[in-house]
Amino acid sequence: MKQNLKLLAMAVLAVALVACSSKPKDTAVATPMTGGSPAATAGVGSDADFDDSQDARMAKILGIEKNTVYFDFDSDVIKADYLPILQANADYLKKHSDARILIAGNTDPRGSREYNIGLAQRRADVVRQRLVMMGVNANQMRTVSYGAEKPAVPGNDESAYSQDRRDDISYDVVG
Amino acid sequence: MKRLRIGLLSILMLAAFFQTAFAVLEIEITSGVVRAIPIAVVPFNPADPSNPNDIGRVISNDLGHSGQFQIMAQNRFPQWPHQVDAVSGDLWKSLSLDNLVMGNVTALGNNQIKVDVSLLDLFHSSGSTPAILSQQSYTIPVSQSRALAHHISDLLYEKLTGEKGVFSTHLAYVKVDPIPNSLHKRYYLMISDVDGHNAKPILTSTQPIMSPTWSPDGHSVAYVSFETKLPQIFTSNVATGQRRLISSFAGINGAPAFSPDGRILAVALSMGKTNPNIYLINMGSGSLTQLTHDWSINTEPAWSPDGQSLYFTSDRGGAPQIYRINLSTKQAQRVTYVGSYNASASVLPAGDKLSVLHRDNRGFNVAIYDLQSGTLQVLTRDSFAESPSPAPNGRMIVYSTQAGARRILGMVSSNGQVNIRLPEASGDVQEPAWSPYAG
Amino acid sequence: MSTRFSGSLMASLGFHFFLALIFLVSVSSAVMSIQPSQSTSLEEHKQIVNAVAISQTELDHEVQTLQAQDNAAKALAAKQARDLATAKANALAAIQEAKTKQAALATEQAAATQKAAAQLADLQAAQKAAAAQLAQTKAQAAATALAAQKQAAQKQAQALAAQQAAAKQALMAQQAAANNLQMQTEVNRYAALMKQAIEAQWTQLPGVDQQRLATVMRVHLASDGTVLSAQNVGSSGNPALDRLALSAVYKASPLPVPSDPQALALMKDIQFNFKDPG
Repeated sequence: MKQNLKLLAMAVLAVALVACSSKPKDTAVATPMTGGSPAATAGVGSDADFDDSQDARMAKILGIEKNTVYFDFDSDVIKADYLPILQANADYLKKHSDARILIAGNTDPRGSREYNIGLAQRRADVVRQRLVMMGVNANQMRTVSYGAEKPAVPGNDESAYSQDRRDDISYDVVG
Repeated sequence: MKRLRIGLLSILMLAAFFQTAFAVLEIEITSGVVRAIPIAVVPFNPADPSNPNDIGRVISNDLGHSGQFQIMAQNRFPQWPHQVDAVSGDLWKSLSLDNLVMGNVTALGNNQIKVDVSLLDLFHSSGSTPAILSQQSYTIPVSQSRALAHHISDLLYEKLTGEKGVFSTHLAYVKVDPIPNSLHKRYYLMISDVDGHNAKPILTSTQPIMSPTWSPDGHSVAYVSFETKLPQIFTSNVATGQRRLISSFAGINGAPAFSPDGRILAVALSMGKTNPNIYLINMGSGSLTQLTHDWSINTEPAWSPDGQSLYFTSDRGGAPQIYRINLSTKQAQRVTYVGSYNASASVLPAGDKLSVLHRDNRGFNVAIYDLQSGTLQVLTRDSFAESPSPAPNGRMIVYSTQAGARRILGMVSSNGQVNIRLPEASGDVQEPAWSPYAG
Repeated sequence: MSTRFSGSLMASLGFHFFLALIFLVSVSSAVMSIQPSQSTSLEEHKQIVNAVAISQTELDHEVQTLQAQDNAAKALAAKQARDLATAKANALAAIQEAKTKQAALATEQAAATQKAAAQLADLQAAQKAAAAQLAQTKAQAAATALAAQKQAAQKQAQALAAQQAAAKQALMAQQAAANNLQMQTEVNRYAALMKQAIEAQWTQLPGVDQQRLATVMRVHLASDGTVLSAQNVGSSGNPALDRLALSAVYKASPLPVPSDPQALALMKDIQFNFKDPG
């Protein structure tokens, strides 16, 4: 009951926010389109999203090759191989209380996209829980599920799928 | 049947003993041949093979793609008439052709054209003169040629099948273009004619766009955008591009679906937890109602046509299956029991069938689930199908599938007999949503 | 199926029984013997009509059955003719026998008369009157016997003629029934062929629910089967589906028609009920 009330309060707050639509974030990038009426085309997101240098820099700092945890088919169990990666992140986050990470869960591209969003959220949350167990402050972490929307490699075979089923850990750019 | 026997018997008795037929002999015709109507569309005069908007050609493609018509190849035409008087009915009848479409385009200057179109019925009488089923004349700006062609296709389709055509409806879909030398992509929310032409983006983003769905008036689409790297649900006006943020709760904001009256948006929200549940957002007041309350994945709500219940995908039984929740009792029950994976349900207009994404040993395919019989018919043989979305008349289902290294749109008739693919110039095309009639 | 066979067998046996009866009994009872053959053909009508409503294979089978029955009827008629011939021969033999007997009797009588004349001469005058009387009496008796014999022969001949007439009538009735059967077989055969021809031309749209929808077409045919006119006398409620039914009729023209004028007359005006049983 308490849980429900809390949810309701959150919902009301959120809806209120939605209703006000006061979303100050994100620079709108107008993208000229060919064939379409530019007036009807909004451009959102940021081309900075295409810059991987921050992730590469952080991997070097953490002493790991890639800040990614891979999963078996239909599984959200963290394999022992990837515990050192999580430990390196935990150590860094505990040392740098101002550092923030986004844990992004992904699936391979097969099946229902929205159902895959649900599946990949489990993968993101399982890593977050492990980092909490390793002593990281929960406030330093956000999770997101991209489902099948951001496959790591193109292709429709098991070798591609095995790279798609993953959590990517990325650090917010500070300052 | 019994009555026929007795009727026929008494007729024979009368004929045998009185040599007088008091009643006419009756014969029951019970099993025809399920096939498309053979029809010829004579290229409109003047025919312009280089013009993709040639009205005759657009009509021919529309009718051909519907699955209800078998379009006669032009090399079999016995003549190329443009006027009804010029039609030699016997020439066409000998080819077992049912109907003939012909027309003329006259330039009026000032970029205006006059379009005359005739639909003929060849087997309406014993004579060789065809009957005119429909004859129309339009004056339009030349830029509206395609729209008029689709309008004429709708008219012909309804005349010949008795059902409303969907050629003037639209598709919303997500197009994904790779960024060269990178794993990053650019995402587009696209609106196009139902034949894939006149495609234009109403939103571009550097982050994923998902799950477009039409408002019942066809004026706007709701969708998920990850433009902040986190998912949010927006609506965009298709004509003006004007956007409105609808849902930005912690965690998953996904799978929007408008109620039939357009007042409520059903969504999947995780509210900062791991699993999404089904919620209803009142589009007027913004009030929120939680419908499902469990620790499994509950997503992809789909409204029944009467607005009284929702179908949704849940893995509460261990694997994704379709469930139905009654909005007044809030009771959910499992619907699909065939196979280990059924998701992405849409209710067909009659309310008696679902289109679903079904997995079997061949992979993921579009299927029709019959709610009365509980049987499932797999329609495609693609293995990588996703996001089935039925046409407003329920005859065709658009979906996304794999073609080589790319994703493209396919359309399959809801009886599985016709399957076509809509080519796209570049990139991946996914998550199509078929507009209502108004769209 | 077996009951139908035994039914026709029983009918056949019954007919033969009646035929036998004809030869023994009177003219009026012989006329009655048409009845069982009528009820036989009624039975057959029912079978024929059953066949129309059923499938092609079953129809083929029915036609075969009917042909077998037709053959049986023909065999029956042949047997009857044979029986009739036998009866004729028997009657002729009887007449011949009567004639022979008559001739023998005459010879005998002549001899008796001669003998009486000789006795009369021997007995002379005393016995003259008595002898004359005796001779007269004897002659009278012989004449009476002859007349009686003649009458019997005549009566037999009459009976034979009546039997012949009855047998002929029965044969004609049997032939008429056979012709009737043949005509109905023709009608049914061509009804099946028409159904086939129109169904092959009837387009049912993929996915369009035609259940509960029925279109009724009244069709007028020329003698060669050409569709002269087709009229929608009962609409499905969907003009498009009505039109597909009309197209099917005209596309199937000319329809197969029987050469038998009686059967043709029955099929020139015909009604097609388009109905998808689902």
